[in-house]
Amino acid sequence: MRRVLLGSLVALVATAAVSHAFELLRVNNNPCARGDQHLFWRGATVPVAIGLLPEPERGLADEARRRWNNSLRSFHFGTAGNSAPCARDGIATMVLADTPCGLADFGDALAITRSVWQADGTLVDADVTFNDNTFILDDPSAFLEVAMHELGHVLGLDHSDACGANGAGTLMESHLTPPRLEAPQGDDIAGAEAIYPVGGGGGRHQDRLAPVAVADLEMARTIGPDDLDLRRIRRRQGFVEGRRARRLHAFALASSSLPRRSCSGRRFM
Amino acid sequence: MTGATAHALRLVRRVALLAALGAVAVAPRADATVVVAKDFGALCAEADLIFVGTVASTQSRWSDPQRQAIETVVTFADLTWLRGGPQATVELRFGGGELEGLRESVAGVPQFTVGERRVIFAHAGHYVSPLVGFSQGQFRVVDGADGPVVLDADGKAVTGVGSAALQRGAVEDRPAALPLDAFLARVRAQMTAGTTP
Repeated sequence: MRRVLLGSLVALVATAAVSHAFELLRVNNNPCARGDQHLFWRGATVPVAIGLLPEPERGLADEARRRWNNSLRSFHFGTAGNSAPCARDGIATMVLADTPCGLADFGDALAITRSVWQADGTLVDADVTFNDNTFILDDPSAFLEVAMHELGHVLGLDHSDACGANGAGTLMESHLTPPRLEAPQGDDIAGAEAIYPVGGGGGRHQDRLAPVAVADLEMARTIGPDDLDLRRIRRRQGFVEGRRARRLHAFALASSSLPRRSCSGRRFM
Repeated sequence: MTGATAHALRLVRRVALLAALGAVAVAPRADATVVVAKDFGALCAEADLIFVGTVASTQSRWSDPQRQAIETVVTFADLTWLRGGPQATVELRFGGGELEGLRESVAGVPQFTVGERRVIFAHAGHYVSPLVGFSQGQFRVVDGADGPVVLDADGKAVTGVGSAALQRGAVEDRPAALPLDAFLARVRAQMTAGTTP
């Protein structure tokens, strides 16, 4: 009996174990081609705009931003005021919508991050759209984890299970598995620090790559009028207004129980 | 140790064992950060299109007149239809691509290379990724010793299909992988089982 119990516990631990798994977004869209240049933000920082999210999602998204910042020494998610949801403006805009900018239905996705970059790997923009018709809107801890996961994509991480590793126990696993994660885990942090090495002076790539062409940035900023999408997103926010009271209540409960001290993911390294 | 104590101890052990086994059973993927996990039965049940095809071309373009996003049209040819069709080619649209010096991607959207052969489970319609389960509804068809065999999207050998679940082996373990014909037979059987009341 003891052997069976021991075997079960070993199997449980093995299932839950975190294997080294992190993968990086890369210029040719293949995270497994490890010789390819990975994507990165110049200056090792990107502003995040959450103003278009309704509450409680706005608070949860901001909490996700802070939890990443508390876990990282070499990359920083800043804050931005208003931002157009579909502009390639260098701001990581987070919105709640029925369809992502310019794209079609989410399909089976709960949220997506659309990254835009140049041939040298420089990220130009990365915006997050949460599917407004999924259970995560009624589950604050799930929304928080999804928001942290998407911010992992924003900074340049791909799915930890993209190249054959199971990715179990990492924030960047493509699937949400119990238990809920409350902060970036050691493997996620290792991935981020592979892109932005500690002591790298705010991005090791900055010195060896040519400056981003102003014309390219201007082109990026001028592509895509956003007024229509802004109105559509606000309509959707009105649609979800009726669910707000229930979610606020759930958020209050979750906020009181979320362990803030676990913000430092280094505990998991 | 009294009889009652021994009985209580046995009971505690059983509860602990059941709890451990239950935790192991729960541990596999349940929901999704970006996608909802799909088992084999769900892939077969939810797909509007199921086919084996060879990637004939990939073409990026703006997805909308406002040029807010790039999408890539993947054309499959040399088709064997299991559900849908039966046209000679089929186009699926995926978010992301490369156009006018800009590269855009949505994490998790699968990438396709001309010439490769895949088994596809897809929704009909316009989605960021039309595959069932976002990226889960695809399998690679590669050469094995005795003909084509099936790997999953990560390159792991598909070694068996249970009542609803797929068994997977090691990456690129082609000798252990199911032959394509056997895999398709399981798909057809699952489709039949799924429509039987």
